[in-house]
Amino acid sequence: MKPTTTRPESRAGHRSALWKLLALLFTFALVAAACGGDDDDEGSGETESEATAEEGAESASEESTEEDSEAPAEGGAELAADLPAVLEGAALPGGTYGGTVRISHGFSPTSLDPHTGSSGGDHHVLYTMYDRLTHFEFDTLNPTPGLATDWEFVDDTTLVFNLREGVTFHDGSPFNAEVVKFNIERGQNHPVTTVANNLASIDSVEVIDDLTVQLNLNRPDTGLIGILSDRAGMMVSMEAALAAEEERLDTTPVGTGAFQLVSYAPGDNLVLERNPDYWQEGLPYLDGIEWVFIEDEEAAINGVLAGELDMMSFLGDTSKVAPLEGDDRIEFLTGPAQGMDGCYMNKLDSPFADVNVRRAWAQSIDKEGLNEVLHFGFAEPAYLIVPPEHWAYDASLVPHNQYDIEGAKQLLADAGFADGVDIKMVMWLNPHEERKAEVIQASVADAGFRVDASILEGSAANAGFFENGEFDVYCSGWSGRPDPSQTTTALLGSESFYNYADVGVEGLDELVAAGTASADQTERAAAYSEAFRVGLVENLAWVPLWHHTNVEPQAPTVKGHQLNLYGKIQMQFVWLEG
Amino acid sequence: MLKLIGSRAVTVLPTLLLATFMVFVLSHLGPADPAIAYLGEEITEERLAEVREEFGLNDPLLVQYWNWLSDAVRGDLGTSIHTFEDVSTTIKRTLPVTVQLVIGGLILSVLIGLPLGVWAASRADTATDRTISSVSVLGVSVPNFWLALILVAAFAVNRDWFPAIGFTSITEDFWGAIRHTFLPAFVIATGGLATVSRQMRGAMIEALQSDYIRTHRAKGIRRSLIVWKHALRNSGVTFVTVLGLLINTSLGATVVLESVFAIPGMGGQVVGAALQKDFPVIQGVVLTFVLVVILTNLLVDISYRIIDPRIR
Repeated sequence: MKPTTTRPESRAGHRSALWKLLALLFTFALVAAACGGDDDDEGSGETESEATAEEGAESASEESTEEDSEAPAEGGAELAADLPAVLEGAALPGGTYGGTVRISHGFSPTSLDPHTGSSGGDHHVLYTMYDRLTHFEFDTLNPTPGLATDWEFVDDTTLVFNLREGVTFHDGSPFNAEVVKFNIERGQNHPVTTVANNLASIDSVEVIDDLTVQLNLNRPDTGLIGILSDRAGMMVSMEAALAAEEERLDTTPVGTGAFQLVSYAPGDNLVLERNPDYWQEGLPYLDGIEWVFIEDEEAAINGVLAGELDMMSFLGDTSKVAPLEGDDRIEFLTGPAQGMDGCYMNKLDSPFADVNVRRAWAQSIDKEGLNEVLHFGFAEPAYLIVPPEHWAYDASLVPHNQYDIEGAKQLLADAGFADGVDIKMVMWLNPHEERKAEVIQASVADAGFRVDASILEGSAANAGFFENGEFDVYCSGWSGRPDPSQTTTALLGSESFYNYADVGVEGLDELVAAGTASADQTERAAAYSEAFRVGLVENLAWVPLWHHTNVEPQAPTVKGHQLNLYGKIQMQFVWLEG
Repeated sequence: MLKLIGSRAVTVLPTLLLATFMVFVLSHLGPADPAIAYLGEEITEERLAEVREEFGLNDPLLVQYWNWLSDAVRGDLGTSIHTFEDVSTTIKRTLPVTVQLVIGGLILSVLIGLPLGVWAASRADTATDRTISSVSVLGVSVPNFWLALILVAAFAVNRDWFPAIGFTSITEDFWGAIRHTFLPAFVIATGGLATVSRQMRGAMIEALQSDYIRTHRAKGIRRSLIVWKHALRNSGVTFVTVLGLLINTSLGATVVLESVFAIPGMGGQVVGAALQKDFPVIQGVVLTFVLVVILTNLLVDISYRIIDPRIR
């Protein structure tokens, strides 16, 4: 029997009930959409320009000033001439006070304690809360005064720092020589320190007086000045550290920086407020910063476009820039960066033990031609391990071992691989790295390299290559460091973890060490030039591929933000307009 | 009832042990190295050896699992090796976020899926039924992440109807919470409402063809009353079963959605932890997910008995 036909009025009743329900849902959603306020309405600070820096503006990096020209330059009172902001060359005129910036960062910091964290990405966040003994010029990474006002090498192994007076930590405790001694010894000896290696040349620390501290070194190490502008030079409150459980400040940071902790939810957000007693007079401009940790760059860009985020600390996937060009809701500040792509090679038991094969590899990668494909134009072919803007760069060495397929074939033949050679390459799991693997694989194939590429999760790739020697080549990269001694030791030093099996190039360790023998920058640059010539040009201990470009997306309301060569954002000069 | 809960409790323990052990083994079998992940860019050979010792990574796998388990039963889920936060604190913070998304998804799934299923059943094999079926299949077939990206572009980035990212708790700001939850909940609901409507359609058709419904019709009871009261009530078991399944699949969906919408919930947390090889967090989150699933299934079983007293 067929089901009874439904009565028309009943069917109509159902239909109307259903439509009512759907309409109700839709209305509910619309009301919800309408009722929510704009999350991003904090930017209305009073206009104030007490703290403007004329001199500082002049040395600001060109790449980042395109939109800064809009900054209201008139009416700003002058900044006192000895402000560290000026020394750093980073404060622009016309800053306005107030507002909170919401900024995304790609991952939660490994720790908010500078001496126990490990990721190079932590610095973006740490810089907002911690000052270092020395700071650096944004454009060149030349050391400038920070918490130390000046310093002097009394002799090769004695370094004296004069400290800034009147600086206090966020907890009110004073900054002085005792605190510096505590911090350096903490960095050397804390059970989970990650900076001990950076401080290895320091034998002992002596407090000369309240504002003078002397470092006694076990070898000449002029690189320390730059090293102390990095994680190892960040000063934590001695009182807070001693009071903390296991003396760790992983989630309870206390520094002297421009912003201080309000709340921290790892993996979610970090809320900071203005440090009212900040020693850089007139700074910071912002009332606060909310760091939001967002792994998905697409989501973060959507956040900026929708007005829910003001900035992103960096953008890794530069393919996202072109589709948004001309969109007035987002700007992409770009500038040179220290980060780079390059290849680590197994010099013990692989074809790359022969320098001819390493040279053939370098000459078979078309750095110029592949730049657009791989980086969408946001990179430069690299030949040295510091970028062209860096003080240790030596243009006379560049270019070297350029793209030359016929030459590469000949080099392989000379090495006994006339019929080509099988290579096991490893890359770490990431869309950019995978694309890089394909591009390199295709490029070197022309010279006779038959590459078998493995894509592994980052720590697995590192363990597989650096520890276990399971691969011949690892085309990864290097994020850079403020002082070239750190980069050259890591990439060219024979005993570095990043040099599998510690196979060194004869004489190279001495050349690397020579870079820290003199305090004179010209002499240091000359020493590094020699290390680059022997290590990179002649022996290809590491093969540089591309210098990255720093890309930092932001809303047009963000002003005063300038990029630095280290590629790690600094927020004390940023203000919000409108 | 107590007997049921008792008998379930007996099976809960082995399930938990098996699930956590499998996750432990699987996450440790891969080539990933938490010590290298932990040290990031500051690796030296000495520190690597120290960290491995400190994390107990040199112990045999079974010993490592036993250490984790013996701490876990005392309520100590360990500390994240990436952020140093207590895992239990992480769970306390992120579980309510994920629960809010899942509940939002369930509400939309039922509010839309249930009437659609009933409607389709009452018009079985008509154009209406086929249209509803097609839409349902589409809902199941569309990948969540893709739909989420489209919705964000359409309603958050290009129109200011909803926020593109972030989260507001319902306990803090009701309308803010609705605004933040609607889009991700809607994505969860596209799959959910399809399941609800398809299953309810089947159950209702079966119910509508049964003898007691025929008797009701013969007595001249209004059809709407027959459908919405008598037939629907007898499809209750199916409804509860579908609901239970939905909770479990929605939990899985949050892993992707929390990334797309940058929502700080448990799903996103486990993705981050997996990328960082943060084993304590992976273990803690999985343990919580397993507990939620077991609890859901128990509630479903109990509700069977309430809805249909014939079930023993």
